[in-house]
Amino acid sequence: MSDLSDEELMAMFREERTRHYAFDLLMRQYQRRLYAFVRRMVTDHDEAQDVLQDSFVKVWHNLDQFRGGSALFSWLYRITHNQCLDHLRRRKRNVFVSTESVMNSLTSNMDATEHFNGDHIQRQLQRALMTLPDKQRAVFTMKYFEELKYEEISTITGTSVGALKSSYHIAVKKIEAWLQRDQTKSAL
Amino acid sequence: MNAHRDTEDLQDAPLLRSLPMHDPFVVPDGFFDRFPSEVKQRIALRPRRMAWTNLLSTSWLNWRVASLAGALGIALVIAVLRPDTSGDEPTNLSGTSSQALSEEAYLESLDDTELWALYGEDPELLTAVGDGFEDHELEAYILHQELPVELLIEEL
Repeated sequence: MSDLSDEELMAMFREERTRHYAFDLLMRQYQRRLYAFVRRMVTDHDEAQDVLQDSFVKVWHNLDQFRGGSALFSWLYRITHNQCLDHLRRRKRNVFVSTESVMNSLTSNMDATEHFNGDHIQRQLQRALMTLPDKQRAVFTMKYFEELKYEEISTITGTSVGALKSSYHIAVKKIEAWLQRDQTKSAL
Repeated sequence: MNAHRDTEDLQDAPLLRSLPMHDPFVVPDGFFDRFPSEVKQRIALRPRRMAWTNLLSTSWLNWRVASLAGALGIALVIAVLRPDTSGDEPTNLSGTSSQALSEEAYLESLDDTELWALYGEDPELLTAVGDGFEDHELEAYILHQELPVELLIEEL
């Protein structure tokens, strides 16, 4: 079945009779892209599943408030992005666990092939990504992997385009340096 | 597996530029088929809120409701703490009762704006008078509010 337009989905959602069906279609239409973003952000599948579930529950409770000022996808992305940052903040708030150990636990099962089937450099790229601050990682993920435009990222994050460009530029430099260091170490 | 097309921002990052567009994460079989049902199960456990609570969830309205509740709370505290001075002489600060002391302590905890709001004073008049006042002087004024402002200014 081809994807429905935002207007079609919203019209169905507003009808009590077709509300659940519309929401089902909406999830099926957008779940993969949103999951890919969340998985990049948290690395671990179970955590990604929790975050995405929480996001869609929020969408269900608030979809009535979507007025179509932006694309539905941007609105869904914004909820998921905020949910992701909240989740990571909660994880790091635990005073008995350091931020570093949270990141290590998230990336711990990347070496198992049932979780990750990339090559060495892709694994290292994800490790490098996890060293970035959460908001910067979100910007990098949206720009580098999702290839969203700065204007779209600005709508999602509520950050100015100038600040996003700067954040992305710094993230690229950090990750490139991290990958180069790793290559040098491997060559020795 | 295409290399990244948008290379403008990656000019100084040859490694990042050369990486293929490939999602290396493995998702359990059937995950995306089951996922919508799992979300709907969670939703069934927590039904949608009523429309009016949805309205309340907006931060703007929350702020308004919180402000209103705060103002009502302060008004209630004042109504309880304020001594009944009808027909009495103005309260003497040096001879304070325990009720007056608790009022003093409460007033000390407020800033100027909250004090004006509490006593429903004319802010323009009070700002003009209050600019040069110390906190204890303002408290004294408020506790002696029956006195004319001109007299207080003269005394101070």
